[in-house]
Amino acid sequence: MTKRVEISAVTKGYGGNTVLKGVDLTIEAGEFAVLLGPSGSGKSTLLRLVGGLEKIDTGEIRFDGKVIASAKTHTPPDRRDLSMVFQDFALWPHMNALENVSFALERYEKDAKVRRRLSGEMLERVGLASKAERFPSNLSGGEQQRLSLARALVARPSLILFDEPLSSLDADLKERLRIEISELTRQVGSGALYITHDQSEAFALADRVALLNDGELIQVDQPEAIYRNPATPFVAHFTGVAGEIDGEVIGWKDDLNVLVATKAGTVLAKRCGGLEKRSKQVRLMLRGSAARINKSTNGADGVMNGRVVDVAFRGRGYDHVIEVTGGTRLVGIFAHDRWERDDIVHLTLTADQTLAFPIEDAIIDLDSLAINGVVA
Amino acid sequence: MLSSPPYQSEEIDEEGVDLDRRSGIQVKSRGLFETASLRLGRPLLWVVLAVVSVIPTIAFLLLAFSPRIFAQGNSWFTFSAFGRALSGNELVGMRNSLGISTAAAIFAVVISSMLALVVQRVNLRESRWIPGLLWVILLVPTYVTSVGWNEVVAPGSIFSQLGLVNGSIRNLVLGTGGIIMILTFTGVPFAYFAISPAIRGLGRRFEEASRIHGGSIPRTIRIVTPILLPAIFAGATIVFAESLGDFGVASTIAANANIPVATTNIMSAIATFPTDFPMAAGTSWLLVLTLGIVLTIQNRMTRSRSYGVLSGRTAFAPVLSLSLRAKVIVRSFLYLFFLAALGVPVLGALISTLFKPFQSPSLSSLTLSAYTTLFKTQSIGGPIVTSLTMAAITATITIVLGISIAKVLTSPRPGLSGKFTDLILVTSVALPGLVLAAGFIFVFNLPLTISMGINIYGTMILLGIGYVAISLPSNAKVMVGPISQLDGSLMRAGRIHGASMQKAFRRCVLPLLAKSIVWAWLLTFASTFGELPTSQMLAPTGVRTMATAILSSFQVSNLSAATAFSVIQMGIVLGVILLVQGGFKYLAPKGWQTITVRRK
Repeated sequence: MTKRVEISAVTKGYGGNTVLKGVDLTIEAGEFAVLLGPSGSGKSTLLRLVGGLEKIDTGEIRFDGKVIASAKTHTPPDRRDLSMVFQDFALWPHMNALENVSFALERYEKDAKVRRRLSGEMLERVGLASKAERFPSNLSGGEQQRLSLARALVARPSLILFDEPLSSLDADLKERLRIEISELTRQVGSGALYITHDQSEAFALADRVALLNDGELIQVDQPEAIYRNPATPFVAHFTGVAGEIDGEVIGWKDDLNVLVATKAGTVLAKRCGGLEKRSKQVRLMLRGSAARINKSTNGADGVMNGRVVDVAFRGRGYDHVIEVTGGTRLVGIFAHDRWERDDIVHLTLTADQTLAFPIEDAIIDLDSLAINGVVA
Repeated sequence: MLSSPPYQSEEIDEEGVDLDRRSGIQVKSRGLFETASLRLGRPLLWVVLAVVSVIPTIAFLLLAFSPRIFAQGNSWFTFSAFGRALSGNELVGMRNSLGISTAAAIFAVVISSMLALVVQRVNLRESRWIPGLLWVILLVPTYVTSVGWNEVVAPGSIFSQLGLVNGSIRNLVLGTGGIIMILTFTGVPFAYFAISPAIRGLGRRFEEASRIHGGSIPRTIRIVTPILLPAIFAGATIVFAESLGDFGVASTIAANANIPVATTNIMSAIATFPTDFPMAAGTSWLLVLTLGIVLTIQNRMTRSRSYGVLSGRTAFAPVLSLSLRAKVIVRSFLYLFFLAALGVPVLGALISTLFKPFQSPSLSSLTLSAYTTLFKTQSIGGPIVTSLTMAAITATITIVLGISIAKVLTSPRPGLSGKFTDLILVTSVALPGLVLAAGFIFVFNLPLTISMGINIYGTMILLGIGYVAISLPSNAKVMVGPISQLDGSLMRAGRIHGASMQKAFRRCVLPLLAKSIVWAWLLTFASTFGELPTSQMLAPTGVRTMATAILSSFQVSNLSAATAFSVIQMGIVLGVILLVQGGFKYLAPKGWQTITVRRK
């Protein structure tokens, strides 16, 4: 039975250091929710609080309306009907694969034979049926993670916690396992709370993404909505920008779009972060997919001038680094054809993906972010 | 401590060789020193090891079967020595030794596991002092602890006068209970340093995985304990071996209480007339065999249960905040343990020597007479100078040999010689010092040895070699950690940027080892300064060391002199440690001090 998980006004601190500053989040029954944030944002702590591995300071966590954690009550982890995939697997080294999986069934199923059968079936689903007797140390990294996944799934708990389960795997394996996690979790029907600092992982997996920074939830929405309408420059930055250029609003096209003059040219941009009519100074944050490279244009609006600084072959095409007039560099500008270094080019920008934030909001401490590359 | 060090893989070595070749450093261009040290280094080490450890031990053990080879009897091959070693007083001694060592190992493991849990899991101010205090326990020889307890519970002591000690406590301490207690306390540091890293490496993830997947607290404890078993067994084995080979408590409390144990039996077979070397060898055999069996079991256990739980990301083990009541309980345990292990024998002894015996305590009963009498009745300068000189020389020689051996052990391609060296080391760490010393007496007193022109029996040289032999194995083991962590690439980087092997070692590696070297030197110094069995067996007639002087005072029932002497002994060790560490702090370049390679 899946359950609705409500986290309301939860705070948590260690010593004098407040890690979570009043978090509200609801995970619907059976929903796959991803908690995305840089390291130190408090996402691990929130996961551990939901899991009951730590006690909350104030606030409440409810499962289907029943309070399981508050300042006064604390349901121990083994009575929360949960499971978890750990970052470092945490497979018990002295138990073989089958025993590891079967353990998670002990609380629900008294009959050892049934446990064996169910565990065997689950191992089969993750492709480890032939390795049921092996010990974790005799499994490869990917197999260990699959085993850890099987242990979490086997009991079909109301909620599965994922603690950055893919961060220690190499790129190829990461992609394959991500698909398995997505597929199998939805098949067994459990809800999921998945934490990661990798926005591409978050976008690929989530029904809904919750962005956490410095102990506060910044935005909770579907991946597409977060990418298209980031609530703050932080969200935009964390979900991938090609570059940032300051400019001045010279006119409003309609309620959604403004005309912004920059050193590199005048462009149409989307109003973001509550940009008001009286705002003059804005910062443009460009998604990598916003720009198209052209040889020449007739100097129309929505075009920036620049020079190709670097080009990288990416298989499907090329990623370019382009320095626009004024010195700002835009990275990860994709084109199917190769543009050579030092080519003078023009960038046509899509207004929808050129985001204009009021400049006072846009000053972020870049060093504090774990920047995750750029969405091309 | 008793397991072999991790060898680096072959690939790394291949790369290194390639690098060497590419950089144009070839064997031909190596200087004379390098060639010599490369070609002769290992064989030379073998010779040293053979002389200081293998030959004496093997010859002595051979004696048990074949007294006639060494002109100690008529048979070429006989088991009669074993017959004698397994009957009468000898058998009782062996049985006592086994029982006492087993008990000490169990108690030490229990106490040190609790200490390790407190250090790793609980936020208590006191917990950061624990490792340091354990080192102090390690530095106090067992006979000093024994003498201290004897002094504290003596009828005339201030504590008896205050009514803190009565007859039944006295009987308990001065009997089997006291022997087990002191060996337990001495064993705790060994067990702690084996168990604590395992608990740290475990982190909390296995517990958390169990709790979250529905395991209750008792079920979780049952899940996690097996993962720690190899470390617990390793700890128990070390304590067992140390206790079995102990001579300090054996020759003080056990001897006074007429409780025979194996080590004192070996000693009396050799040192009292009529001497029976073959029987001493037989008893030694039994000790070595016992240790061999225990070590084999432990090795099997470790191998079949080595789970490799230490991954790179085990750091997350949040410490528990204890409730007030739990804090009181944990604190009482800590204070009680350190009071009994260090406070009573060290501070208690010190206080006791400052009061006149059989007088109720008052300012007027304060006295330095224990010390003045000591200075008047014996020349204590002799033992102090002898032990200081010998300890300094021994520590210096041992550290040079220890580093060389550690280098062989950590070399990327250990080969047969490396494995052989490791085997010798593992064996001699476990070999009781007394057996080794007995082997020395025997081998260097043989007509054959003397006819070969090696006539060092009864000289300071033999005593020195004996000291080195005793301290070398543990010293080399201590150095393996730091050396294995830094050697390869740093050395290669030095070579590739144009330094000779000597220079690369001196400039690029030695500074990083400096801190470890200073500590290893001090450890060897401290243990040699107070070394009892080797001194007792090998010191030339008329030469007294600190240990033998204290023991002989004790044996002639001059308890207060023995205690005063012990206090002086510990004072000197403490002084030297402070002096050397202070000197290092002021004299060594800054970079040498900030950087240290330490096994976490």
